[in-house]
Amino acid sequence: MQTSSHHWQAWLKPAFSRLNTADWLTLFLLVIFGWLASQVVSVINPESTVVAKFFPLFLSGAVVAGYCYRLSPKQDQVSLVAPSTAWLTITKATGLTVLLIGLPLVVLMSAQSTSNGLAWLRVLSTLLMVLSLTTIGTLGSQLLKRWGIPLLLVALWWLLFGSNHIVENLVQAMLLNNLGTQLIVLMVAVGLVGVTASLVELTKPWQRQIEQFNFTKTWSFVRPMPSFTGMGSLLIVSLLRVIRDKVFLIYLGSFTALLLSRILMSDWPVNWLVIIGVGLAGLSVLVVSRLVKFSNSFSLQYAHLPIGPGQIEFVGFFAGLILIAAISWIILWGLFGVTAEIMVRLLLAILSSYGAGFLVSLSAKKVEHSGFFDSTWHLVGQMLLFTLVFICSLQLPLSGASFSLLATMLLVIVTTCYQVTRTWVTIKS
Amino acid sequence: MLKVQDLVAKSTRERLEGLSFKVEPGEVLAILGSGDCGKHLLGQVIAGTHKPLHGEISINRYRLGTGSDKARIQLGYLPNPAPNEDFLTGYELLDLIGSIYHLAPTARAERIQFLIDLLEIGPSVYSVLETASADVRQKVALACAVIHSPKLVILDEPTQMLDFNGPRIVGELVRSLTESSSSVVLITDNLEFAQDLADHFLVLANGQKLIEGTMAQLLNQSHPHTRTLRGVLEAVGR
Repeated sequence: MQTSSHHWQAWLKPAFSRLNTADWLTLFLLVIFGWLASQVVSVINPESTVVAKFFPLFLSGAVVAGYCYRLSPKQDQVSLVAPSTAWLTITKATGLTVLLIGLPLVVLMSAQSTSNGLAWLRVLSTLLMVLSLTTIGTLGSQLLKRWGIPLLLVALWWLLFGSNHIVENLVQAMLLNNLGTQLIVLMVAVGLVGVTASLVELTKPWQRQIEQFNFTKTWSFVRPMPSFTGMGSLLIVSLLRVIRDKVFLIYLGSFTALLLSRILMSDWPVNWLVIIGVGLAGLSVLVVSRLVKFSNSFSLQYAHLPIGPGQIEFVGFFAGLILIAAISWIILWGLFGVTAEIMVRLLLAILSSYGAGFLVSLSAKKVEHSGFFDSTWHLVGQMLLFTLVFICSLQLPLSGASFSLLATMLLVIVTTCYQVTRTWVTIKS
Repeated sequence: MLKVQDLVAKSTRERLEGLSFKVEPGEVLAILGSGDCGKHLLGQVIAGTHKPLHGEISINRYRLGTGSDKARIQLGYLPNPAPNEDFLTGYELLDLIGSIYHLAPTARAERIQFLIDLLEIGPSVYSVLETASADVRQKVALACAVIHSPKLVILDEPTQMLDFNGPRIVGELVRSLTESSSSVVLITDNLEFAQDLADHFLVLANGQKLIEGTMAQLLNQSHPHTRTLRGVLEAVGR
């Protein structure tokens, strides 16, 4: 008993000792915001689920808990946020609360008006959503680090109490365009962005361990290609590099906004597959550009080390491929329940477009160090090519798409063999 | 330890024209000269980050180029500007570089702690480098260059970004290296610092050797009343 009491004291004392007057005021504001938001949800849709009604209140509570247990500079020796002044704290906390709770509610109310036929409100609601999600992503490097813990708690709460509701309601929202369920979809989307950030943040020490371990294995002494184990390690490192980047959060926010726009505007004349295609194209460009940037930066900075970058781009493409395949599988199979034929078509299209993107990166190899590869235009070009090949592949009959994939992959294999041979010859000479 | 013969290289700003010199084990060679004399390019070429047009470089009898890996293991290099992997903390970066050189975990931890103490990095070594001060980043980069106890260390402007304690700290690092028979090539504009540390001096101008030797030899070759390295450089510059 004594141990238990001591244990609780050990947890509570450091948490509360960090709070100054401004902090207490901020927390009070957050709880009020949460309570108000819960009331608004109930007014909008009296029949909304328990999850939707109490989500904002829970969010506030989670924020309070997270705030108390925020990372201390002593633990990590890093000041994750600027020094806490009264106004800064209040501004940040209020701003974040508005972003997380207020904006989605405004969007929902706007969306409700849209059902009366006000087209301009649809545009406004979409813009607000994009703004809200992208801002959260943009602020990710600072604010979400602080709010990672509360957002993770939100995710846990979802899992424990509302998992069945979520899946069921998500599908309903897609099909019925019901506002009550849209609220949940919206909250899930906003939460997803935050949860991703919080997971990234919370698992950082673990990530670093894995990263270093795998990094060392992969970046071993010069070889024309990383070993099989090395390729797996590089895959993990590559994925960690990408999800740690705040651009990933911005992307995730934008993509979610795009998906939700489609949900809110049921008569939007844009095909689901096109939205997903564009989304995957963006993800592909993101993965590839980050990997190439990382590879270039490391190989330039540490060129004197007895290591070789190998074919990091090659492995990077596989990393991206797996990531994209996993995400599209979850979206398409889990949520939309698409048929096996569409799934096969999508996989063929993804592989073809990925192959095309890979070929572009290989062709740009000579100009990488001049900065051309990192330039926006090159990335835009790659994204356009990816999307073009993706959409074309979808339009082709199954046999045509398979043939196109085969041709692209053959080109990729031939080009890669050429690259490997060239690297091997260079090393041997 | 280091043998450079008939070295020709060219970059956008600097060039080297037929440079030859040697560095013996445990010796500190200071490479001096005005802005674009070629001293930074020389560091890059020896470190293998810039390919020479002509000439031969051997590190501990291994030729750079053919036996690059074996030569590079013998080498520690602090480039200018110092590299940093911003995603990692200083400690993590040191651990990573140490493991690339295949240092065993225990030996690596001991070596890192030794360097943290020697370079007076302090608790900031646990900061993510992106947020760390320039002083800490430079010290971490210095530690990375010597973590594997290399036989030859090239330090390009090691005292830049450091505070007033910098020259003393780098001096102690260089002395600890030479005590274990490592050779050090010091590329610097800090003449007083170079004079305190170096056994041998190589002065470059327009990519060519202007003057070379120990302090005593330099004094003999320059103006008779000169007693400092700065005086020597001013005399030969005229």
